[in-house]
Amino acid sequence: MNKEFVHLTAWEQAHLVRTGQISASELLAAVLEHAAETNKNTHAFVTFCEKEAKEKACETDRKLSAGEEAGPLAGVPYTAKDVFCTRNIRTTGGSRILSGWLPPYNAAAVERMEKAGAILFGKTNCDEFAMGGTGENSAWQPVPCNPYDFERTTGGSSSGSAAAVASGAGAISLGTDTGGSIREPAAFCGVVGLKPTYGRVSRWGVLAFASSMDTVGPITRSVKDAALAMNALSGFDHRDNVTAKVPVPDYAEELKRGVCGMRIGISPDLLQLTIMNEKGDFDNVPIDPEITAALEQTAALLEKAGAEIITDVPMTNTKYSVPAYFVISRIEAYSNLQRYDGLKYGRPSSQQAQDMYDLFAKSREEGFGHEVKLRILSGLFLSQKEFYEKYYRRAQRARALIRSDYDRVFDPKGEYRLDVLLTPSTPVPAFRFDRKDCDPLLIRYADQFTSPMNFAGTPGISFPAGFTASGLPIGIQAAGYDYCEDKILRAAYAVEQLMKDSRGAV
Amino acid sequence: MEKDDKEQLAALPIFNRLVQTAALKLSADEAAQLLADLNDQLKIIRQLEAIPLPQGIDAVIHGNPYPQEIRCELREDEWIPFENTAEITAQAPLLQDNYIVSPDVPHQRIA
Repeated sequence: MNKEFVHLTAWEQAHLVRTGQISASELLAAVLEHAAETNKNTHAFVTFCEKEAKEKACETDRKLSAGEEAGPLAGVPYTAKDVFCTRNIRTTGGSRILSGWLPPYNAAAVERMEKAGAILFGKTNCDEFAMGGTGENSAWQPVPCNPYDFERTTGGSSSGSAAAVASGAGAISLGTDTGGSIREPAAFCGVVGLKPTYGRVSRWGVLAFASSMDTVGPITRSVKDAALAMNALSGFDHRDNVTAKVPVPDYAEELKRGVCGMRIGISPDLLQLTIMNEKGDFDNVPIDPEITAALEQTAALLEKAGAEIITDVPMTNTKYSVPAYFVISRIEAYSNLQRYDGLKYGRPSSQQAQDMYDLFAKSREEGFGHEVKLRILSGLFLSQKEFYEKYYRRAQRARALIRSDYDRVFDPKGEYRLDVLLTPSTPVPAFRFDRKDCDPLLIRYADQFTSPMNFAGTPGISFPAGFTASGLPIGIQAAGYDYCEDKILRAAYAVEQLMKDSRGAV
Repeated sequence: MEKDDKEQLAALPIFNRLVQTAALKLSADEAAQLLADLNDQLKIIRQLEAIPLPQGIDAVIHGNPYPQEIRCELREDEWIPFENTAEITAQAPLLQDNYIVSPDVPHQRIA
C-alpha cells in the first residue's frame, strides 16, 4: 500500500498531504505497515501507538478538507526516542524500572511537533536512560540493528530513532544528545542528526540523564527535514529554565543562502584521536582513513560551493573531553536517578519488602541494568567530599577550557573567524556487535569528536558524506557557535545537494 | 600518576558503602563485576589530574553563557494545579484515601 511514499522526505510527505495527493490517513497506514515490516529486522521500536496516530490522522484530514490550518508538518508521521514523555503512551527510557509507565503529559518537544501537525506513531528503543553508545544497554531486547548491516550496531543512544529513520519508518525521529547520542547513530545509519545549542530546544518532559549537557534534536533523512523539525522544536519554554530568549530564524528558508563566503575550518586536532597513555602522555591514534578521505572530499565540495576552507584551526583542548565527560555525566546521572525507587517513581519490586528502604533497594536492583548501576556508583564515588575538588571541580574547569577553544575559533574578530568547523562525526563507521572488526580503543573513545560540543554547549550536525568501500555510511559533522544552527544546516545542505545521494533509506 | 593508585581506586569496603547509599542490592557476582568496571572507569577519570588548567580558567556549570537579556526570569511562586491529578495517582502501586501506601518506614537513619 503506497510503499513509494514512505521513503520520501518529511517535506515531500507534507506537500503531498497538503495538496491532497494523499490523505494523512493513507500516508500513516503506509508508514505503519512499512515500520512493522522493517522492525522485524531493525528492532527499532518498543511501542507503536497506532490507535492514537490514526485518530490524529483523521483529525488532520478533517482540518485540511475544511480548509483549516493544520501546521507545516501536517500529516507527517514521526517517532520519538522512548525518553520523551508521551501522554497515556508507554514511556520506559529503555529501563525496566519504568516498564508500564503511562505519563500523564507530553514532553514539550512532542507538544511542539503536534502543534506543527506531525503525527507520533511510535516510540523507539534506546540505551537505558540514554546511557550508552550502541543501543545495547536497553532493557528491551533484541536491541536495534543497523539497517545497512544487521550484524552491526546503530550507534547510540538514540539507536532506534536512527534505525527507524534510515529504514523509512517515519521521516523524522526525536532524539537526545548528551555526548553524541544523536550524531553518532545518525552517522552510523547514514542519516542526518542535529544536536542544537544547549538551551535552544526545551527538555521539559524528557527523562534526564546529565542535565548540564542533555539536548533534544531531530534525526531525519534530509537536511531540509532537520531544518523543518528545528522550526517546530526551537524556542523559549519557561518550563525548562535553560532555554534562552533568542529569536528563532526560519531554518528552512536560511538553507537558500548557501555557503558562498562562509569560513569553514578543519582542525588537525580533530582528525585523529588523542588518548592519554599510562605514563600521562598523549598518544595520537589514527582514525579510519576512509573517514578522513570523506572529510577531505566534503571540504572540497564546500570550497566548490564558494566557502573558504581554513585548514590549521587549533582545537587543542578538546582531547580532555572524555575524562571530563566521565566525571560530570556520572555525577549528574547519579543525582537524576535517585528519584527512581519504586515508590516516588518507577515500578516497585514484586518481592515482599521488609520496609521502605528494602523496597527501594529491591526495586532498583530489579529495575536498573548493569550500565546504569555502574554510572550511579561511579557518580556517587566521585561525589565524595575527597574527590569533589580533585575530579568534579577539575572537570568543570576542563569544561571551561574546552569551551575556550570554540570561543577562540568562532570569534568574529579573532584570527580564525569561523562560521563552521568540519570534523568527522565518529572515528570509525558502524562496528559489529561482536567487535571483531574494530580497535576497542576507537570504540571507547568514539565520542571524542562529539562530546566536546556538549561541554561547550555549541551545536553540531552529522550528515551523510558517502560510504566506505564495504558499503557502510560515513557521517561528517558541521559544528557551529551558539544559536548558529542555521549556518551548520546551510553547510550540510550544500554538501547534500552536491552529493545527491544523502537520503540514506535502505 | 601511578604512585597513589591504591589510594584512589575504590576498594571493597568503600564499594559496599556506595552500594548501600545508592540503595542498590547486588548479587556477589554482580558486585564483583561492578567493582572491576568502576575501577576501570576511574583509570580514565584519573587522566583529569594531568590536564594543565591555567589561572583564570574557572569552573563552569554549563558551556554557553546566559547573559541576563536571554535568561529565563524567575517565575512567581504560584500554585498551578495539574488538570487531572487522578492520572498521576493512578500510576501509584497502592492508594488509600488518595495517599500512596508505603511499606513500614523504619525509625533509624540509613548509614
